[in-house]
Amino acid sequence: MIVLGVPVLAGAMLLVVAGLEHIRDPRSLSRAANTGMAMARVIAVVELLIGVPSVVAVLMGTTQLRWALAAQTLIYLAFAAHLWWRKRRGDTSDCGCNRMGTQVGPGSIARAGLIAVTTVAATLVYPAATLPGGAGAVLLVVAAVVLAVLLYTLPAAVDGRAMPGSTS
Amino acid sequence: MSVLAAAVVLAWVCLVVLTLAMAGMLRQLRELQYDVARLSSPQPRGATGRTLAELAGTGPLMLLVLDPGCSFCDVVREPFTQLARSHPGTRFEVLAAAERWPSVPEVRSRVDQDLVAELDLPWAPALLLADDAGTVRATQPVHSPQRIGEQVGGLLSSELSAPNQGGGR
Repeated sequence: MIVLGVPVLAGAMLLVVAGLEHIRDPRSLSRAANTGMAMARVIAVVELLIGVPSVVAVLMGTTQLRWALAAQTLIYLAFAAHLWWRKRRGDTSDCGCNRMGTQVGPGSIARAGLIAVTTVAATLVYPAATLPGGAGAVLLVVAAVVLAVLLYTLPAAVDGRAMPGSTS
Repeated sequence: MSVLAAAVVLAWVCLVVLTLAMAGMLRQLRELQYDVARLSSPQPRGATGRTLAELAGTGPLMLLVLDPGCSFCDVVREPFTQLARSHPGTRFEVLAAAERWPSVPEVRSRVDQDLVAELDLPWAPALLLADDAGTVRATQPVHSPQRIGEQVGGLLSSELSAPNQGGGR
């Protein structure tokens, strides 16, 4: 089950990075999600409040932090549904995934959906999805960082960047 | 599952993600090459000077053409709709290929994919000025939401006062 821990850790890292980026620049999230600035800041804080405990949960196996994995499932599920709804409406502007300014598309939807599915599986078997200690943990944490970097760039590579003023 | 087995599985996952990313980038590269080839070829006839029945009506028409995939269009739409009050003799309308923006009372909102394709404007958001007969007098890209008032005023005064001079494109 430790193989589940790595993509969940990568998803949690993405959440932390997204939270930090959105706190630094809430305007981009506000535009992308079509919300006010206050709501954009709230979303950024929620991303951090879920992402950081999720990272700790996967690394430490603290039973009390199972809620963080459940919350991570919900936030990615909600994000996947939001993107899917926007795609259905023909809206391919900035998905708000990260500061790369990626347009809404199958890459961003699949990424959010797959992280949600992996996280719900990890939540159900938790704490079995916790990473082991010792040298193996270093290998798996490095794998999680590599996977997180790949997943960070995946929507831009698959769907393309949202260019202000462009026609789709 | 041992750590080594998990690492092998994860390596395969990373390879799959990399393959997807490379396929996506190749697709974008192909689209880019196609766009470059299209832009390098002789330009098709522009919208200026064409007469379209859909644009005809009483008084000149100031049309804002939006693209649902363009985030800049969001910030341009609102100042444009506010201009309708200061130009009472002019029809202010918003056109998009898909429904995304809520309608406002002062400005008619159209969702017409065929008309957008027919106009084939190379920019979004774009301003289009047409006369009563539906003849396109000028088209311009919107430069900034702050200066859209000046742009609309300039188009209305220059194009409608000089009936036989071409458009801004």
